[in-house]
Amino acid sequence: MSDAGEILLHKILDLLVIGQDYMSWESPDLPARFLNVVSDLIPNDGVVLLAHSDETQIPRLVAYSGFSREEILDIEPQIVQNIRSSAIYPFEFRHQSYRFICEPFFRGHYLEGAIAFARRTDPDEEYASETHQILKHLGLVGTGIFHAASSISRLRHEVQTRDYLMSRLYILYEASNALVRSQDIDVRLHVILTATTLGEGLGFNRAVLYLLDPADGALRGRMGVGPSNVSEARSTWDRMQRAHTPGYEILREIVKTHRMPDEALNSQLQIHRIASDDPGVLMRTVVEKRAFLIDSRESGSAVSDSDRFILESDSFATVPLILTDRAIGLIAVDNRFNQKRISPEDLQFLWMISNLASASIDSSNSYERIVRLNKELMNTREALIQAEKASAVGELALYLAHEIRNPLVAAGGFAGRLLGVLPEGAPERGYAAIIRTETLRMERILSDVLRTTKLPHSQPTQCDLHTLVNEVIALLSFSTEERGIDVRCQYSERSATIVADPVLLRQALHNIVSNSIQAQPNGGWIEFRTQIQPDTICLTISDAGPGVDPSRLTEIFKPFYTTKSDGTGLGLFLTKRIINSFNAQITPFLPDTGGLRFVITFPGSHDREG
Amino acid sequence: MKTVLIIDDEPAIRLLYQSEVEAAGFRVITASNPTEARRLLEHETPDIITLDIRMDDSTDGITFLMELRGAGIRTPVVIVTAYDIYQYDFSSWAADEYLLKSGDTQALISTIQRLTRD
Repeated sequence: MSDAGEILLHKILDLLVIGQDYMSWESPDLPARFLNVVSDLIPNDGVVLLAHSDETQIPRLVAYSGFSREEILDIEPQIVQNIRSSAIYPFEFRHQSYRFICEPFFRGHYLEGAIAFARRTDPDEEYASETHQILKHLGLVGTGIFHAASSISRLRHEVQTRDYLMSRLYILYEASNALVRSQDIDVRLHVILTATTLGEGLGFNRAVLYLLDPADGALRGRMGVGPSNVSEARSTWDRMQRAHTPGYEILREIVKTHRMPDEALNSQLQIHRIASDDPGVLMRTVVEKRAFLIDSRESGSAVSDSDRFILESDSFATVPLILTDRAIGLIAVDNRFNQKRISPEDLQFLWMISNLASASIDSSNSYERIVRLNKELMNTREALIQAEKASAVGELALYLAHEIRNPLVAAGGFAGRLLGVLPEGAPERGYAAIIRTETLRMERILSDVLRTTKLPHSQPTQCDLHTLVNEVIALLSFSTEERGIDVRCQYSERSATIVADPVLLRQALHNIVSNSIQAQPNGGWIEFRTQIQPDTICLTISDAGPGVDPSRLTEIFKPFYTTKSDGTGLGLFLTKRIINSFNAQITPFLPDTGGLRFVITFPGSHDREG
Repeated sequence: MKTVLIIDDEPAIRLLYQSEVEAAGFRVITASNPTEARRLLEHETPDIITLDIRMDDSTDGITFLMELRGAGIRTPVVIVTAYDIYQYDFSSWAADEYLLKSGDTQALISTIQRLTRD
């Protein structure tokens, strides 16, 4: 083998080692090493190495030697335009003649790269035929190595992208896990905004959340996560790097400790309000229900002073919080401290975060509503149990009043008569006096007991009739379901605000509905209907029971009236008294279609618009 | 002598009131329920009526009171009952006085005397 051939073989082996290193991820500086190995294969004053670019799809400069930076910028386009096998062409630069010989790295028709050797010589000088051969071999080896390199590079990029996506998705997964563990809206929002700012998460520098105030259409700052200035940013990131706490641990810790954001940004945000007519991007995000990616260094400024109040950035992104077609607020993010550009992919992740936040807000609200309703229901149930107990005590007391007071009155009265006729000094007179004193004392005790069984002191307040009726229906739902009674409600669309004591009114309605249920042991229906008239609010309760004897309809509110074998006859009596105490009227009807109907007419409340 | 009609279904109460009211100088006639009272009123014109409310009868005291007033009878009526709750029922307001039954008959006697004073 000739010396030149041996040198070439060594060079090719060197190149293969470089290629191997590169493929095993150990040599990111492939172009520089390639150039270093091949630069003395052909006599030259400069070498230029080009490689295919996935971005531009034309070869780009990746390494060079023998030229200044300034020179190479002028030379590069010349070479790119003249990539042909063994192409030799002259080039003038700063009164100096150059001659290039170029070899492309072709894989089929696909250009992987090219190498060009320059010589500062007489343009007419010929290259040796050996040079062309070396170039050809170099072309073949270069094609192999550059093809492998570009494939590896693409793979590396894809792996990095996948890692990055996996990390983001993992944090989103951890965030959704954390959300399941807490129903507290503040904790949930803190988790979501922290996931937005975690390096392993969406990695934004700061995230803020605004909610729309339905009362005036203004946006109100709800929560902000992230530093408010450079020194805070530096100390936060230093602390996080030292702690090495994984992102999911940070999210779990928020749920566990109910910790709230403690940065100044959060306190500033909570007093921030953006009026409904603000022309800025934040308000437009909600009004137009779309995301914005703002880089006001490029586009004209659509950013208002209100937008800048918190973010103080020229570049930021916003996404609306949408709940069944309705915007309820927005999330805005920026990269104020590391100046990283926000990409369209970032925006896609931000949409995921926004959907998570909307769903969280909705479910937290629903949960709070259910908790509140359940608590109210428990209170009502307790009040009704107490009322029923009181009512049972009251009925017993009324019974005792009748059954005991009469004999007591007779005994005491006759003792008095005896006292009047027995002679002074007779021992029987003393006994009669004792009987009289003691029976009068018992009468007083009886009166005291009766006083406690009167209606409790009424505390009228504005309350919603529909809510009260629903509560009574809920309380008796077990009985209606057990007997197969269909409960129908036809409420007016406007709210029915009345002035009544809710506890007493529930008791009254409970009495009526209980009677209806007991009158329909084998199923039927109960219907509640409300009507709002200019001065009155009318509640009609109808059932499919047997009704009452028409001749006794007027008697049903009298005490001790009952058609039930075990009834005391005081339920409807008390019901009427309660309803009358609210200046309302209750009237019984026997509809032609059967059953019993009560119409309760309340005076209209002045504040019932809605 | 003024006549007092006592309507009460409790014999002991009737007897007590009768003896007390008679001792106070009145003539007393008694009925154990509104049905008996209606019959008595066909031939008696009492100067005052004491009326129980709950009695073993198809008509209670308040309904009977309504019946009397509806028939234009303006005779003073004193409701004497073991219950205080009926005083909140406006129908009972048609009575001239509402007394709670008591072994101390002083209030009853003085009320009868006041309402029968010419």
